[in-house]
Amino acid sequence: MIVSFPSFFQRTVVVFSMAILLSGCSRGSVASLHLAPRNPVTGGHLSMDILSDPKTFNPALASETSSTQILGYLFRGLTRESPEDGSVKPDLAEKWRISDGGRRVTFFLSRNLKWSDGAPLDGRDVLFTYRDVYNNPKVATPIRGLLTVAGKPIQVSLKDDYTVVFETSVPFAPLLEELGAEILPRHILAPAISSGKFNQAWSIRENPRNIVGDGPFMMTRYVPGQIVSLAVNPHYTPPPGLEPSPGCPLPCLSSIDLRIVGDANSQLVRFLAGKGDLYGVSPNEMSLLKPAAKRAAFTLFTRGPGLSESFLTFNQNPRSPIAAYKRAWFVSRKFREAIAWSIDRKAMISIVLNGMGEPIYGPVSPSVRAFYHQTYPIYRHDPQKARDLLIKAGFHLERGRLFDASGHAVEIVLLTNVESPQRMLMAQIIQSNLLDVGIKVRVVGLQFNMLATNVMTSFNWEMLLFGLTGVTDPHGDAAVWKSSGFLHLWNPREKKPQEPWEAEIDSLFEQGSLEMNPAKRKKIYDKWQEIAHHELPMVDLVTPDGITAVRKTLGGIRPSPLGGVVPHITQVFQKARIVHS
Amino acid sequence: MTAARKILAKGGLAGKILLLLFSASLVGEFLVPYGYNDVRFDLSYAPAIFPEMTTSGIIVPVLEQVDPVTRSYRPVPGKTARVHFFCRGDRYHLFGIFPSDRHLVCADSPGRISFLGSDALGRDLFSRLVIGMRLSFLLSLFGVAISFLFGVTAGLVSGYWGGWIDSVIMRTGEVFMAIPSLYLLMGFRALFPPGIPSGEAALVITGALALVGWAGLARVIRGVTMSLVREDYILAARASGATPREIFINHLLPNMSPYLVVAVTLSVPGFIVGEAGLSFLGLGIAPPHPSLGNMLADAQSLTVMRTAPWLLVSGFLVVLLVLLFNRLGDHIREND
Repeated sequence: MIVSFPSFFQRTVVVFSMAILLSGCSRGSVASLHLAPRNPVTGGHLSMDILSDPKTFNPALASETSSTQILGYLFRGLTRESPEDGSVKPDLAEKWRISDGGRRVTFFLSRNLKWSDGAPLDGRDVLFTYRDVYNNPKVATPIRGLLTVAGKPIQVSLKDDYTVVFETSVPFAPLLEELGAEILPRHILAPAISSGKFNQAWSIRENPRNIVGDGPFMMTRYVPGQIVSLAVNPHYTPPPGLEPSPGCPLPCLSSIDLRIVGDANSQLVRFLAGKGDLYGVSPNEMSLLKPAAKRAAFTLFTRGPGLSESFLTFNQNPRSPIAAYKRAWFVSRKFREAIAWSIDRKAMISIVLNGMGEPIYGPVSPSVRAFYHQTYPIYRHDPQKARDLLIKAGFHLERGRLFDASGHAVEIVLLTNVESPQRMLMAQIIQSNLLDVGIKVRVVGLQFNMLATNVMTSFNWEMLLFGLTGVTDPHGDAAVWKSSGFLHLWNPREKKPQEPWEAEIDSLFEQGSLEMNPAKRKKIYDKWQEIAHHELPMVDLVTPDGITAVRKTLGGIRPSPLGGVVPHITQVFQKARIVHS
Repeated sequence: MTAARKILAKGGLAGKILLLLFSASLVGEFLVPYGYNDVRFDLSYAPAIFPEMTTSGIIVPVLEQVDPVTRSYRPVPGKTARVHFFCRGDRYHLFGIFPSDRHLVCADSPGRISFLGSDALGRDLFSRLVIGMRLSFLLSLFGVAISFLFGVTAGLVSGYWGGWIDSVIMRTGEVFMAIPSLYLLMGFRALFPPGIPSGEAALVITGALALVGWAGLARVIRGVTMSLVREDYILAARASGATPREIFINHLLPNMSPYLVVAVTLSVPGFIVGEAGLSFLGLGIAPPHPSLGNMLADAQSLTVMRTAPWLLVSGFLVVLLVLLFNRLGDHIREND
């Protein structure tokens, strides 16, 4: 008769024992960490925790961070993105020339490049990578979509062994950024392509020593569920213009260990105990980390607003099964503006982000300085203004509750993904904010997959609280803002734009990708930000500050708005080690 | 009322405490100072604020946030708020019927009286806990009633007639018992759309719990019935032409009632933990409605435990209720 719930009790016990452990920590029962300087600083070691196992070691197939984070140390592309301002810097290519009004880019590769097995790296590898891998319809690569301009793949040809030419049918402004994709070794992977087995090549079952790369490190060991070990690549040639740290070669570290620790709480406890050198901090963890910084010998770097943002959006899709009168609210611009005025972003930042975040009012994060455009008015928390706007839009208030012109009480279901406690909190803040203007909101947290099905496939949703990670070039937002885009959440994959302003944004994105002059290009995207700010298909909310905790053993750390705290992994060195007394 | 008197008379200390908690939670809205969703964004994770006796009356200090990063608060110097009794506050419906806005105790705004501290949105934890506890009580009593209805009926029918009826009912029950209960609950919950309102969700959870719980009881009742049916007085009743219904009600049930009372009290904890478990996993009562499970879920991250350890109190309350019900069951069994 007694129903038993072992997992619930286990979790309760875990929760309580963690609480007891923590109360122990706070009384200083854990000894503080001592550091001893290292001299010389060469040949150091870096260790970090990662959340999950890699899914593949094949850069062409990798799409989630668990794989791409590791592969980022092993492979490099023709160009790289500057962490400071997002500009394009040379990597394998030492220089390039743009001609034909932006339709042709010629890359000149550095000489004497080598793969980690000692084989030479030249233009034939680049040609192989782009022509036979990325543009090969049989390869399941997410990169191919990026390399398609005006419906046609980018053409690649070889002028000589060190000169590669890329051609597009129309000018394409973000072309250089897109050509940072990893270059693959032809002498290793060509057989997999010709035998049609590329989609299985370099799986995680491959011996890590067989993964031949061109990055500063190579993989020496992978134990599933435990660790990925990297050692320095003896054949690495640093990109032109990269300055080594004082007293260091490039790279300065000799090894990196990435430990797989599947739980964010465990990672946090491990970092506080001195395990690992870098830890990506979410703002709500600051209450725990800030007081511990001295004892556990780390520095907290706050890099200002990041690229990820959260927003509120409304279902305007005529194909959706929701009631027509509800859709009429969401299609009304005044209604959406009223919502924008009702939200208390300050409270969100203080409650959900521990005060470490910025309110945002438009689609481009202020950290993307090249394209950010300040738009007015700023939607401050002003419930009275929201109520006035709603009344102007034909709604009326009755005993504190809002009704539309046809007498329907305004009640909205707000969907969000239940995995994120922060988002659930934000949803409750929105619920309380909207109650102030008479709108009753029911918060429903769904598992991510179910949420995606409701929003993208069955269109059965009313209001959505969600987040997307922004990009440095606005063209990357095309999937969201073009009316034909699949992430055009409020009305995905429209045959033709439903609203005049959607048509205007479509044409702006078209122009933006063709315009090669940076100043004119910014103007185009400024216009887009103004329309987005005025029409508010997405009500932008807040963006958390990027924060990284760095153990004081590391040098070569420099916080940058777009690239975390490590400007380039080769510049990092280990200046001290932890002594266990 | 008779049940309450019986628990008072026979239930020992555990019974008295449970009765007190239950009746307090029934008039919870009046006893607690604030509504369960009365947010105060400026008091996120604020600590407990106790009233103080002074010469000018009972007052509470007014808190302000010093540092949003570490969530530290300090009393604003020279600023206090008076505490009142039987004052006006949040509107509510007592027992869901009688509208009122009287509260036993409250403090003048912006002061706040808070016995257990606040949660992330600055809602008073004590107020939420009392309302959440009522939900646990009502859900488990309702769930026990349903599962007893099914369990006792199935057990009586099986044990009385035996044969193929017995086989069908018992094998069905075993199928339910064989599936790990948490998965069965989650599966049953998944049959309903995830966005249903809290009230309906509570009923679905109760239904799910009853569905899981009836089989074990049916099995024991069947055993007891089988042994009772062979007794002479049942044979006598049968011989004198009593219908099965009369036999069930007049002979079988009264004879197994001591066992039933114990089984009821011992099965309540299963429902309390069941509700807490489902809500903890986000499948039960949805916020902002409080339940012991979803309140504990708020406290599961390391950071929250450190900044606001008082959120763990709902976990302790689950343990306390379970212990009390078990103690009550033991007490009744020992003293019968």
